[in-house]
Amino acid sequence: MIARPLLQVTRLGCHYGPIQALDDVSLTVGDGELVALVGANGAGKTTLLRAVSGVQPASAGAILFDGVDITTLAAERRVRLGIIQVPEGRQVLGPMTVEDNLTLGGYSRTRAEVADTLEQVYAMFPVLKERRGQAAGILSGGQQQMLAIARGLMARPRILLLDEPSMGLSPILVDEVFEKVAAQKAQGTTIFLVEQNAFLALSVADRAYVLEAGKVILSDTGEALKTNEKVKAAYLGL
Amino acid sequence: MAGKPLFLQWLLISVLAEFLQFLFSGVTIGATYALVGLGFAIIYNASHVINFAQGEFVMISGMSTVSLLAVGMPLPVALLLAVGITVVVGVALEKFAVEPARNASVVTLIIITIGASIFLRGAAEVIWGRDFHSVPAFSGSEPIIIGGAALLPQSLWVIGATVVVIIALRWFFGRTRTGKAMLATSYNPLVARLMGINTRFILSLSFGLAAMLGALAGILIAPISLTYPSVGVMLGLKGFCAAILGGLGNPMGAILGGLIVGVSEAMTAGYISSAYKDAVAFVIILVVLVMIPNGLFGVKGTERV
Repeated sequence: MIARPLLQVTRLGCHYGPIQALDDVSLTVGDGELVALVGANGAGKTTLLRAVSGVQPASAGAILFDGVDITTLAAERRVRLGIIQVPEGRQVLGPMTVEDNLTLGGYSRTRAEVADTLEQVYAMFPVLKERRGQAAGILSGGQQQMLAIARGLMARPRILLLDEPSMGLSPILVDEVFEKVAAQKAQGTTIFLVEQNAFLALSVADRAYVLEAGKVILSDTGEALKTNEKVKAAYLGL
Repeated sequence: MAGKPLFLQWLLISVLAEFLQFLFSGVTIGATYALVGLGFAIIYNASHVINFAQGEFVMISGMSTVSLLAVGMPLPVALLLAVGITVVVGVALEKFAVEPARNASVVTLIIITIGASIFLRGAAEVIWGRDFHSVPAFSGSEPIIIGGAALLPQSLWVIGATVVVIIALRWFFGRTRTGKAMLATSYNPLVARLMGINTRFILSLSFGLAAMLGALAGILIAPISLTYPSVGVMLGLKGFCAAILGGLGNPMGAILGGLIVGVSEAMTAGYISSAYKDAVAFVIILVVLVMIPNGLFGVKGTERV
């Protein structure tokens, strides 16, 4: 049974010039769910997230958030609705301090709310508190990924869009990152996770979609997809 | 017997006085280059566009002051209004010339600003004519004698105002939310948008801020150097030189660059010939571009993939 839909993507199309990156993509993320989107490099996963965040225009179809059509809404307005993306490759603001990165993460909220959330985020990521005054660029890769996620949490997401959070991290750090993701889900945050590491993504996801060449080719619960012959052959290397 | 040491003493004092005189005029004009250079840096940071209409902001504020004084406004009011008018022009330039071509390449946008500068200069000639105008000094023109060199009170205004601007900008970028949002946009526009920063507004703001800095340079220097429709051409180019020398996009570099250009220019004019004065800035540009393309304080121009 699917929870009340929070994010609904209907027949979405996206183009980069003449190149079609997404074709007729429909998917739903229910309130409180952790939904994963898996697929090979270049399948269109990042494009889909960019479209949901409003930094990539849709050429067809619609995006609904909490029942409201946001297909043409400006990116900063979507952030205010609680659609928060943690982009691929961490992308921390290297020359700025850890704390500036975090407070800017709460740019859409009031000063008091930001101060409040900052304490919670520091409690969750003690290492960031230790290094609050240092430039974000000198953190290690794992710490930068933590910072990127923490920065997303500063906006108090209703849905957290995570783009390849395991990319470039050692297995131990990947586990650490996914623990934080699981903790967020436990607190009731809806999560839409994009991953190349299909095994990992399917293990934590309630449901998942498989994207291939810009189209959704499969969707099921995470566990079911893990045992699906096609997925096993193409994405799990089994 | 005492004639020889006295002569040497006199020689030393007059050499020193001469040097001080050149230094004063160099720092004064250098401060205006610094303000113009800061404008280049701010717009470059927000959009990677080099706004070649930056010099025209200097001209518009100077010429507006002349007109506002002519209709009988008191000097402080005229100065403030002139800055206001220039800011409006700057924001309008962004809205009507840059924004519609937002998805074009940076080179296209730079060419648009060159076109805009020609348009603004032409419009100024139509509105104000091609004559030279003078603006009264803010607080008298009785020079202050320091070490045998004359320092105009207006020079103190130029230097003092530049120092205030530098402090205000440091506060703005280091302490305020909007200032930090501008920095974030310059470091990573995509991430800035994902954080909920309205980067279109930031771009408008950068043009408004740059116009304000150019306008300040214009009203400060007008009493010293006269104002006319093409006054912005040289000031703009030298401000650009200041920004390049300091490392494009580095505000504090632009300030130092402005001072270096101004002082070298004044020294060249004083000790060699004023005929070479304008050449100094361009020799500096050539040397910088060949020897240190990232400027004195610029970050290496690497592109992240």
